Amino acid sequence: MSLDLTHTALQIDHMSENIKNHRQTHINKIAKALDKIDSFDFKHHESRIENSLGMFNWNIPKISSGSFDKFNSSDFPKDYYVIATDGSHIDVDRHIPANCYLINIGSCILKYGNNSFATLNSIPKLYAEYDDLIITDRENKNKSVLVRGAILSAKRMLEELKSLTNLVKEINSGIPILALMDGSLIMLDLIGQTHPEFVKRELVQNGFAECLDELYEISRQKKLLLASYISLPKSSEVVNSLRVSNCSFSEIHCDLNCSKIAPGDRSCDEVSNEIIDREVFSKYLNTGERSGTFQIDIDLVNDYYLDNKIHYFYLNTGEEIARVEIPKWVVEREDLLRLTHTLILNQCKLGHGYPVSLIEAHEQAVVTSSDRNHFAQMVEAALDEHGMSTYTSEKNLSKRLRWV
Amino acid sequence: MNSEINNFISKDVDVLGMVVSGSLTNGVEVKLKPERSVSEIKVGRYVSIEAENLKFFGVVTDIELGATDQTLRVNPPEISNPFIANVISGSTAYGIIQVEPMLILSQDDLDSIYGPQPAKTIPPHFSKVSLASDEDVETVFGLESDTNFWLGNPLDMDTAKLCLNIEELIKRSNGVFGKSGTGKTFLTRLLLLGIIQRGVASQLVFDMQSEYGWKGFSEDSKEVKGLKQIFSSKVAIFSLDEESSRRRGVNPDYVVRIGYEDIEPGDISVLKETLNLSEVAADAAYSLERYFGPNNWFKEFLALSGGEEFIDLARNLNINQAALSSLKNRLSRFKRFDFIDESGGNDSVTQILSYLDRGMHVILEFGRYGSDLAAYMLVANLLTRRIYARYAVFAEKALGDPTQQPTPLVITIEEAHKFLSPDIASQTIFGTIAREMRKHNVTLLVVDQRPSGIDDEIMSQLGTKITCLLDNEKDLDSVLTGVSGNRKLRSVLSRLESKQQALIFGHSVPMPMVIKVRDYGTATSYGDFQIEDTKFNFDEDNEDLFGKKL
Amino acid sequence: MNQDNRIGEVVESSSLQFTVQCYDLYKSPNIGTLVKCGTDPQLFGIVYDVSNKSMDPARRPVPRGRDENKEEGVYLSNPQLNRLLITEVNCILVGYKSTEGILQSPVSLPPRIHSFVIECSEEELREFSSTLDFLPLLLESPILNSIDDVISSFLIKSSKSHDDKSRFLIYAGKELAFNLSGQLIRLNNLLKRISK
Repeated sequence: MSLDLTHTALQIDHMSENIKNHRQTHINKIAKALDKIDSFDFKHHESRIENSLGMFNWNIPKISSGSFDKFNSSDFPKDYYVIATDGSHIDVDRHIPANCYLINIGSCILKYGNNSFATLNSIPKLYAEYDDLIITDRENKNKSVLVRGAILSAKRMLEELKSLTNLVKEINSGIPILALMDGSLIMLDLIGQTHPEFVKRELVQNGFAECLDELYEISRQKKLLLASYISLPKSSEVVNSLRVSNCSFSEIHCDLNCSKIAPGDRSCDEVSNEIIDREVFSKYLNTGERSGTFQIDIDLVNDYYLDNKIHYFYLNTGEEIARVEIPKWVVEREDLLRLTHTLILNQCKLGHGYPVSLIEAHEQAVVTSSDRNHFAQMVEAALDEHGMSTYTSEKNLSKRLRWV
Repeated sequence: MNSEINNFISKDVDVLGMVVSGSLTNGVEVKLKPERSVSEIKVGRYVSIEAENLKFFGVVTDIELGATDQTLRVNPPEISNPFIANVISGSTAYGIIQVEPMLILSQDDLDSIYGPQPAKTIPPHFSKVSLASDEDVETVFGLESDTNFWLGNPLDMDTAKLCLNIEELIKRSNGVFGKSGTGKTFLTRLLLLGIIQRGVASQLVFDMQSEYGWKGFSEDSKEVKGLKQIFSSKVAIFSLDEESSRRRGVNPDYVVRIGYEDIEPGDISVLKETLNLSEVAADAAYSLERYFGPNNWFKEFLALSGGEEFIDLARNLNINQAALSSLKNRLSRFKRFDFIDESGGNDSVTQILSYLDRGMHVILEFGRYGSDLAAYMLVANLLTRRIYARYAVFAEKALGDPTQQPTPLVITIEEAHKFLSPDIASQTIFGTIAREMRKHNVTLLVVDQRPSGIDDEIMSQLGTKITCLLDNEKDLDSVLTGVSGNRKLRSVLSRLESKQQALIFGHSVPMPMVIKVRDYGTATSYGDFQIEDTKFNFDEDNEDLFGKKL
Repeated sequence: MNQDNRIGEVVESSSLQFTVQCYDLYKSPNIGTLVKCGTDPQLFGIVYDVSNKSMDPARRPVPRGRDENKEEGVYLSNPQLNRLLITEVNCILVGYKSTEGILQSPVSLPPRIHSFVIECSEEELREFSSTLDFLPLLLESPILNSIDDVISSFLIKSSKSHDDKSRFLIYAGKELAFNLSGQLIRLNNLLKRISK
């Protein structure tokens, strides 16, 4: 049976009722957060962080003196490249009779200005070798994990960056190149879960961070900009930063001070609870403006990203507030930062709200559900051809054939 | 590159189209090739049809317009656009011709010695139909030769000569028909000329209007030469009216005189209609002959005065007196004919025969009596009866000795329906000759403008008929009685042009054919005849010197 | 890329027709053009439909030129369009080349996918159009409605390859008339077109 929508409709009604009731409180909170930003005292903030001695439960970025400034875009150059990659994958599936997964990397090269052109491409790759299917601890060969789920997602992200790096290397030109990734530059899949340390070392330190290093090296010869674009970011790191200045305790020590207080009633909740960064920045930034930069300060980056610190800024594209993540070397050069802002803004304009290069890379990468079925059938057919009987789980069969 | 477009460009000029349907009884239907226009083809035109290993020879009997699309009538295409007009004509709108396959010309050399055979089958579907070539006509009708006389050209084929085998022609009685002014006389003159030229028969011509002997007039009143002027040594002109002959500058070879004793009751009964005699009155002549004796009856009868004597005669003969009286009245007219001599004739019959014997051709001019039908009929009938009787004797002799076979004789009569109408044909000598065919080597050339007046049986006995335009339904029926393909010939015949065109069909031609009659009356034409004459004379001389050719 | 008039490759085919995706956006032969594809046998087709569209049927193009002064500006600012939009050409199969020359008859096997599709030269067009046996194939084609436009443009193109242009057209017209007996209005319209 399909979804009983008549039933659901009532629940939806109820939900919207709730939202309506909360709305005003929500708006008030955002307004207060804006006030805090306006009156943000960088020195005060720094000293309070220092005093907290890390007894601070909130994930907050490193804020610099210019973080809450607003910047306009500049004129963009006539000639430039935009390169984007995106990926998708078919996970290991126990309904598929073979142990394998597939990563499809889509790429898009757009050359603007004289002799403009576009190259759209996708390269699927099947991983079925033993070494592909697991990650082994280099120190202890007995320790290994299977590549699937979150680890596969992380591996895919690594492949996206590798592909991007290769494309950048192929371009021999002095004109600006914007290398753009979809999502975050942080391998978020490896955060919050208890993945063995060797997995992070393998994928992040030996993989992703090395790529970033490579790109950094290239950036010293070419005018290379690296960025990732996060649409509708859900993060609230900046808002959380405001809790610091709003903390009513003389010494910040969350567990000590507030463990008995229910969320929502804490002093810092007044400006931060249940609101996210983009809600605030949507009121703070005018169309086309970006915020100053914030540096991500999390263990994964600090431990595995080597020297590649990741920063971000918020950008009002006109359609939404996006979060743009950039490596340290972009932040450090004013011109590169400004160009990144400008080019991404233009990409969004060309893409009607979303960077056009990412749209095309995504289109190249996307694996549809029918593609997935075809993939499974091809695997079965190939095994059959080699005389290997295949077993398809009854559940899988029932998904393919719907009967009464 | 042998491609369609090239075939299309280099079109075969003679190909008309192809056979698309048909039957033996109705002929075949031929769809014209797109580039052919119906207007370039005329009824009566000859075509050849190539079947697998046979070649058919046929005649166009009808022409139709066809359209593959019936809406063409209500919704004609944009013919103002010349391109569209060009395309549509011959394709969507096309021409159909009906062809009557007449003969099969075998393409096998061995078979060709038997000559063309009547078509007893039809060509298969899609056989190619072309305009008949000169060669085809020659194959069918033969080349001009010492027996074949060039009579004219097939319609629209100016270079092909249609030749008539004169020898074959005179084996039977023949007819020349056509309404007045259509060129009967010219045609007849040509035939006479052909017979003279080929030397296969002697001729006796009852020249009613005196137009064959010395000179005649064309329709536009131009003078044309008579036979005597062309073949002076072979033609003798006899005259009934010497005065008239001389007035026309003719010096007749003989002036015919007929005595009262020469007239027989049979001669009178032929004139029954012409003299408006009743049955009883006409029959009375036989009674008179019995009463007065064979040679005297006419003279005695006319000599009778009225009154008692006449009443007695009527009583004796048991004849109604009024009838007898009317007979006497009518016969009295003859007294006004100068060529009838109470004191006795000059044995013209013997004279004529002596000329004929010498292979000469006798033309009897009627002079002013030509306008008197009674005189014409009387003389023609009277002379012919006697000459025929003599020929009968010759023929009987020849039974014993074939070398004694008399030269065939062709007798030409005009206004033939007067002699050969159903009610008197059985009585006149002409009826006898026509029916007996060539029994005694005598045949007729019947010239008439009203063939429907001629007895059907006689008509069907005529071997070859050459007919100019006829428009009277009855005449058409009469001419075509007993001819196969009657209906189609009829449409051809009624559409002949009124000048110089004739349809020839019957015994001496393998198939009916429309011809444009050969020119007669121009200097060139005379030249042609004379050259032919010398040529054939020369041939004859050769024959005499070196014996008969094989 | 475009040596020997190569226009693209077969991306879909049946024994009646095939679809060509052109190598370059908007670089397609016109309706009525004779093209060839494949080898052994070489097949001939006539372009009957040209379409420009999004490569992905699920993605509709959206207006992009609001801020552009010129139409080319749209393509300059959006170079990916040349990749996302394609020009497709549909051809109807009209014959093939055998050892005996060109045969204008239905083909027994469709061209292979990715067969190169090449626009025929004038000589090839002349040779092909020297017979018009394929006309019935086209006239009765079940696959499209506007076939008459295709036929007329093909014939006009062909006529230019023949020395005697007008005679060719008359020949072609008569062939049409022969094949369209009973469809006088259609014939008339067709003839009007090729007579211009």
